[in-house]
Amino acid sequence: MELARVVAVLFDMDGTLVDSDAAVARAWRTWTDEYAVEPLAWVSIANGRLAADTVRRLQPDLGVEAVAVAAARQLSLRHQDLSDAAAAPGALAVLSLLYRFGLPWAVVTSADHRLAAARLDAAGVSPPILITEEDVTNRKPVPESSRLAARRLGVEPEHCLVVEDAEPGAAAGAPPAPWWRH
Amino acid sequence: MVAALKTVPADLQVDDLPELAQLLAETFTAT
Repeated sequence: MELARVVAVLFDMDGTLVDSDAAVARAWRTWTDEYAVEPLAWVSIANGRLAADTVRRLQPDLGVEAVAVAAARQLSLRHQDLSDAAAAPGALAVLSLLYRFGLPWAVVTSADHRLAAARLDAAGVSPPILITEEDVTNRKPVPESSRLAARRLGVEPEHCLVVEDAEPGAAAGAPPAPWWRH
Repeated sequence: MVAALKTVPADLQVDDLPELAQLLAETFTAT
């Protein structure tokens, strides 16, 4: 892979640039208590998925409206708890290098704008471009968000390096660029 | 905590952001 040909970097937020694991765990812990779900059932499925998708998997018997209410409660818990969001180890060093080398970058997250802005602010990260769930019709793993970020940065998406901690997000960087296929 | 990162292109293997920082520094300092 020719890293030297990368012209921009697109970062996921939670679990990549921002360490919000403790806050996320607290929100799910409270939610699973309230909804009588096994306390750690969310762990293997929530990362990179919308709250509603995770709720549907945890509570398959809920109807559409009940899922919406349960997902809204989960999001509300996240919005209320920003106490220990922080830049992930190495995040500020990476961003400093990108500025040094003149490489544009963006944050592409499935979080809503309010939560993303709050967590990034708490982490001391100010992205030139921030793409949130409100900016796209199709969320990760559909590559709409990464393509939008590339367009706003003025670069070709196939020349972007996409950095994620979750499979759905990494898949959103596809299709593969011609220059690293071989 | 960033335990492992996935990237596109997928053949760039990094475990965490410090490793990515090192790769970026090596690559773009040399170009």
